[in-house]
Amino acid sequence: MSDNIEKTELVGIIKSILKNDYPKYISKDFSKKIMSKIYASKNVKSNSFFNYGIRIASAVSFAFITLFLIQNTMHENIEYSKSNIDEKIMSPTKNVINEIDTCDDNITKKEQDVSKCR
Amino acid sequence: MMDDDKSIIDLVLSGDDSKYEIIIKKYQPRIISLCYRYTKNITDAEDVAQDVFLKAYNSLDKFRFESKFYSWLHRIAVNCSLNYINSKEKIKEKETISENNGLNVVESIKTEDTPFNSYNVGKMAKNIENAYNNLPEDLKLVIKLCDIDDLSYDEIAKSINMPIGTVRSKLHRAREILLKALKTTDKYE
Repeated sequence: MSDNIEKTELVGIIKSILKNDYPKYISKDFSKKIMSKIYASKNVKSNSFFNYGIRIASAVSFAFITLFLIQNTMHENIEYSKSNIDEKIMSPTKNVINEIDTCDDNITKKEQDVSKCR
Repeated sequence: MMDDDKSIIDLVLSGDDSKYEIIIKKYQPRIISLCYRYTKNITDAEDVAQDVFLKAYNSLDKFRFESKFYSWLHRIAVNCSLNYINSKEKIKEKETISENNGLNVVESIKTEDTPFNSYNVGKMAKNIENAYNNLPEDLKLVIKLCDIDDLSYDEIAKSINMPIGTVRSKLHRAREILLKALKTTDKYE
């Protein structure tokens, strides 16, 4: 594997020389630097996914704990007794308005009196 | 060559990141050389080239194999180099502003790679050129068509009326001679 990589590197150099397209110097650890950066970025990515998962899990557990606490502390304790509560049903009251119609001229006084008495 | 890249890229995309190092090794001299044309500084050229390979890695799944991989990489390298020039110009503008304000600008110290940490490609080139010029004509032709003109094995076989197997073996022999010449340069100098 390492021999293969070394050969690829040398063939790459030969090709660049034949094409007259080469730099004066190439760092020996050029590819190693890039590969270490790639591996580092991968680790960061996997760590960020892990952190993301932890954050979600902690948020969910916090929500559950809060709900549990609210349910237990805010609930009123109602005590039930065996005795019945007597209810007296009151008869509904009515508001009565005495309305006196204006008297008609054609109606006799007697009839007016009768109508008033209604 | 393109098929070669495809199989390597497929492996990288399937999760074998270590194979990406083959791609880097294969194209690093040409990409660094391209970046150097813009940056005019070998250290900066390597920094920009690093960015190029990282960007290519991050968008490897977007490469559709409609063109050669090197063409795609070349385009990324040009964009990165232009971005570098723009950012450098901005820094220069800021520096001139701060100089006018009488502030001392501390130049960033860049460690130039010592020859011990680098391949002396300039020195290697002389040996390779000599070895190439001394190659038998048939091997020289195959190397020229493959490595300089970027033809595929099929195209070479058709152009010189030779079976593809013979093309492969001639190319292998030619490369072995050139590799030997390269190793005599002693790349660990």
